Amino acid sequence: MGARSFIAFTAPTQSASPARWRFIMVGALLLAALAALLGLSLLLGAVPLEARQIWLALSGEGDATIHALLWNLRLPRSLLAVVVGLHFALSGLILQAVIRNPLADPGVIGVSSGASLAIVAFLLLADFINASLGHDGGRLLTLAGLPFAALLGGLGSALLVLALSWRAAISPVRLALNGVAVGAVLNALVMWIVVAWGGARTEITVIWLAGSLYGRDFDHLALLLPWSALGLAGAWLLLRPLSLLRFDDDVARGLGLHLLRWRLVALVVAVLLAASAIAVAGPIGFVGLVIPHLARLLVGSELRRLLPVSALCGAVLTLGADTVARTAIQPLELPVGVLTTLLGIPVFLILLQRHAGKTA
Amino acid sequence: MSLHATSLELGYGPRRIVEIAELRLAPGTLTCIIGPNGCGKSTLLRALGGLLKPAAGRVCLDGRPLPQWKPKMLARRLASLPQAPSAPDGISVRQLVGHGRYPHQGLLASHGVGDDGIIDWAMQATRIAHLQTRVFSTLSGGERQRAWLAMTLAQRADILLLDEPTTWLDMGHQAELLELLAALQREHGLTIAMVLHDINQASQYADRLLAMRDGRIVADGPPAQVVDGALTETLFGLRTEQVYRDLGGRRVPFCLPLPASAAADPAAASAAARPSPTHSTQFDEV
Repeated sequence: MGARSFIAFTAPTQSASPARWRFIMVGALLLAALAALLGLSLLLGAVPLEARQIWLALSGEGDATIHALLWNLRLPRSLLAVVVGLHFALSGLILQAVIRNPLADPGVIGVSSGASLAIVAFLLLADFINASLGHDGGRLLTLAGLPFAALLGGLGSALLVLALSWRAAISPVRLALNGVAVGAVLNALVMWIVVAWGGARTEITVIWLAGSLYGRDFDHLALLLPWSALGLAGAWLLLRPLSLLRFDDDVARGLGLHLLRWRLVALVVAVLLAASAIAVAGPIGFVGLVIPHLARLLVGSELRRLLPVSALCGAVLTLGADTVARTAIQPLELPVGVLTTLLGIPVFLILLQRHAGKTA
Repeated sequence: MSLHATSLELGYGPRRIVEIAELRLAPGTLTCIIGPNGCGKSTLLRALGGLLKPAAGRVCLDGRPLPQWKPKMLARRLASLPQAPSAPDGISVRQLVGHGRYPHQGLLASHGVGDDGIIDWAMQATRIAHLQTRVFSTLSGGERQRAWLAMTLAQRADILLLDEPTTWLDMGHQAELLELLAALQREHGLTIAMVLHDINQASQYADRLLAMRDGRIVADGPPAQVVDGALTETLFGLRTEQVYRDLGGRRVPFCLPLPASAAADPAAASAAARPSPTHSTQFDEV
């Protein structure tokens, strides 16, 4: 058909649109905020440090204690907060597009509850096994295995939800219903296990379930980064198809989208991002739900702008929340998941109110 | 180069809704499908566009069954616009129209310069260029419908399948849209098939009119041959008065509904509706 000439159109070359400038501005501001927060998160803590001490420790000199504090505790933790926030935000954005529901987040396809169940089961099983083996058996199951268990749990439950929705051609509504149903059952199991057999482990279980970055080190970061690379590459590949997945099935297919294939790819990417983040930090609440909306209010809903801005917003919010969580009421530490919710929701509500005022 | 359906049986689940022995859309023609609510018009259109898998029979484009086409290749040839679709939150008009370029884009390549030109053209043709930065959800019903059509045009397919494209439009915009489609068909040789509710609009613009009832085609031909009082009675149980208008040298039949009082009066009704026995032979009633 190629040679068919259409109405002669002289295209007015598009000048750089306001949306583009806005995107650049927002991106620069978020990057600056992230850098500032990163610096602040290294300075603040139970032992306040000075910028000079941090510089010395980072360049491998200075006091050994400060060096250890920075390299074993603060730096990995802050970096982990950044990456985990990015994971949750991207996962939420992808899920909201695929499920076509603004309320979707990693909880909605059962990832969070699957990982939670695995975490609880692992913690209690570890206790049981280590206790029954006695002293000479050593500790067969250590906390280092926890992230792997959580990852398997999250992937397993997501797989179950996908399998249940397969016959309905993974229709968004069916997916959400199956996800919520599976999630409810798994959460009930979690509660049962904690109440019945929690015992001495109840506290650490609850902290895990609320989402926390306490005591994480570079091992956790190393565990997470391959998934980040995979997730980011996947998200990049998904840019165009994901934009179409937001439309009705007939519209998307009419435009030439291989619906089932891309819906599956998008779900797999979202699940990998969420499950790997939950594996190292627990199900940090509301980042995946709120951040995509926040980013949309900032730069509109074109995905090639929305995606990087969501990722940055997720990183900033999670790092900010974690910094506050470990410094606000010292020496006590709050689970970061509690704070992302407490911080994220008001910010979100204020933006939403202002936005509503503007369009009304 | 044509869309060709043979021994088509369509349905959702075990229930058959549409059964059609053969249907070929001739290249460069404008076909209107009319019929009462629930007669299977939209179902037929979905199957022709490859959006609904036939329970039996098949639809071929250039002699090749639709499922054998790669989705993007098919979308370059055949554009479907469903009835009253919904758009994602916060999307701008220009973005929406830009999605029509998807079948022409690779996975990673950036937005091409040619794409912008075609998007501009599609928006100008549908008279929505001034709305391009507006958020889609703030548009009126008529503006939305034109934006959807612009997206479909941006696909630059040579076959357009439109399900009630005039929904939500006022009389003026309906006429404007139908004129635009007719012009596209004339100037670019597009093949258009669309579902319309208004038999008179169909009569005015169609080269060929497909009348459906209960999932079957009950009349098929140029409007001048098939549009009359008997047809409206068959399709809608509606008695009408037939009038003719000369439009550009063409004698176009129109059917105007008779009020119940006139229809009840046999003398007035028969004088007005002039049921012609010759036409009834065209209906292979089920």
